[in-house]
Amino acid sequence: MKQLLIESKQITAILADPSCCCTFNEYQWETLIRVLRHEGLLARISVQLQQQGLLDALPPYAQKHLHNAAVLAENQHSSIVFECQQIRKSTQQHGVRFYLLKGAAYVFCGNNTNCGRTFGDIDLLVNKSQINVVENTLLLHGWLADDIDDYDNAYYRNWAHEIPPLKHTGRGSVIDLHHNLVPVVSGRAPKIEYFTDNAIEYDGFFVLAPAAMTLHSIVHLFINEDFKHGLRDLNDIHLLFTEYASEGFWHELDNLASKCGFTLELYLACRYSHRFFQTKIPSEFASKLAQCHGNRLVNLLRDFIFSRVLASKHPLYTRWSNSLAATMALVRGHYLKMPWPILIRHTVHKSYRMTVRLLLGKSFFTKEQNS
Amino acid sequence: MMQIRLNLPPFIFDIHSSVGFVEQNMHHMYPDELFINSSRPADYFVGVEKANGLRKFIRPQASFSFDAIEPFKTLPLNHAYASLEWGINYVVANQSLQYVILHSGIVAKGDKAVLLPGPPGSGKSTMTAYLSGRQGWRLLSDEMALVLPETLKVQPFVRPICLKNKSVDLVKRWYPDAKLSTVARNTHKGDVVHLCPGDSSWQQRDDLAKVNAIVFLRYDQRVDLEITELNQNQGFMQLAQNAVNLNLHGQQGFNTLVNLIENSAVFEVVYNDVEAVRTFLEQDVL
Repeated sequence: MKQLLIESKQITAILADPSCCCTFNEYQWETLIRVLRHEGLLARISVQLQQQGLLDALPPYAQKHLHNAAVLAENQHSSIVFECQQIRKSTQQHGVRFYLLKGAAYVFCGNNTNCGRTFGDIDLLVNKSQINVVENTLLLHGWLADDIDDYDNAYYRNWAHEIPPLKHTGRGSVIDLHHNLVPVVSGRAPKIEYFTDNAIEYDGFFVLAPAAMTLHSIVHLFINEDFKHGLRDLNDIHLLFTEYASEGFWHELDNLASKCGFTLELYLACRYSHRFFQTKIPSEFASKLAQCHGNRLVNLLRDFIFSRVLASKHPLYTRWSNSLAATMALVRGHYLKMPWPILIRHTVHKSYRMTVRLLLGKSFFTKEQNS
Repeated sequence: MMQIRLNLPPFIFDIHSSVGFVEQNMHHMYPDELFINSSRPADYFVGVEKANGLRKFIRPQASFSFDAIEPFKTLPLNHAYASLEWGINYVVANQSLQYVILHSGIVAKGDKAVLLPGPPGSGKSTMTAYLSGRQGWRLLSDEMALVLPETLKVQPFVRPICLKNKSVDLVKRWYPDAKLSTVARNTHKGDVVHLCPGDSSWQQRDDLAKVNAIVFLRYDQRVDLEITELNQNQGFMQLAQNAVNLNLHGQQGFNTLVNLIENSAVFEVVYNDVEAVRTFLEQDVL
């Protein structure tokens, strides 16, 4: 087996301080670029190196790929602004108050997390009573729900905190329309006003106040079973912690997490953000959280899972223990999202489909497209 | 198991496949000197492998991957080599923003290049294959022109030419010694065969050419040769439709197209006779 040119640990060190890749040779860059591209973080490093004035001294090979990644991200940012404007125009008559979440929010408020952030979907939050009118209006303007089966549709409608993703037929933009931040069925959906109060308006859209924005990113990462973008999302949290750090912010964060029952998630975010990126977190704040949630034995298990599922999942770093950790995270995420009876039903349904896929091939349920 | 590093100027690809006929085709289509060891870092890592699932025993499938990400649905195993070639195009079209990329055939006589854009079925690849085999001509690409932003210069991206259906027989008639790949049957483009370009195209794979003319092709059985000169507006609109990554280049992309249109002769050519098109290009255009 070929020796790794860059260890997984070095990747997180570079994300904490991009200047440490300035001495890399082309072969180290080859690996670094592959891994960062796979994690959706190549543009972020590119923009950070640019801001620090370090880009021009790098080997041309690295410059070329970093530059391209930054252009791609920049283009995603302008298209997200365009798509949001289209969404607002088409729903204007209904006076909807749109809250932007995650990536779109970072772009509109222009914080540091915005730097080189790459996207899949546009995450929007509206008042639950307006979901239907927004969905119908968007439909008239070309955003249609993908063809999903009855089970998945019912899952979204009855149990989730969002409706099925809406995709624009012409431009392909995808909207995730939320009415809450965690699935209703989990029993942990907070009173949404706790998060939306004090939201700040940017160009006709609302962005959650810093503490609420940060806590949402945390909850989204840790009450989940899918860690595909784990490293990127944890790095977002690191940047949010670092940028907003002030006494008021930590107080607000603590307060909000306690009110909504998300102190465990906050603890995990602090623990792994610090562990991965040496994030500066006030010691009083951290030890208060650790008192409630820092059981040593449980932490052994948590560390086993999260040090793996939050790290790079590029095949260069694949070990057997990673798939075990991923399975454990999958079970954990489902258990957090659904009560037992529903979870059992869900598991039976999904296992059936997985078996069919395994037997008959990955694309068995994918509908044939006429081209 | 094949794991190779291929120098495809201006890129270096790292390619893996354990499908036997993919490896054979690669060695048949690409000259030996393009196979390099790891002495230079690769730009992109791609591969095509047999897809998993018990279906592999009944109807084997192949899956293209771009560094562990599989952007497409699986295809019949028989399409594996073709899908690798298409996958490489896909990666370049989406990732390589150092060029304004036009979906177009491009051939050159010396350093004078002719862009041959056209929708599928227009005879673009067939015409490209014909011209690049004639004396003094060379292939830059049958699929994508890599234009250096805000210049008239095009970087060659020499690769096998993708021939569909009946054009395979035409090429065999014109060039009986042509090196062809195995056939990928019933793809979304029909039966597909790749053609290895001639030696002069490979030898000049690093030599930039300058766009002199833009010829929008349309094959029509009933028409020998019909040439219309397009004005700059018509030319621009048609060229913009063939631009792959124009949106990513913004103002610079727009300027590049304007520059191309303002400095080239622009024609629409309806034809059924490839030789007549060549005569026209050599005598009246270049």
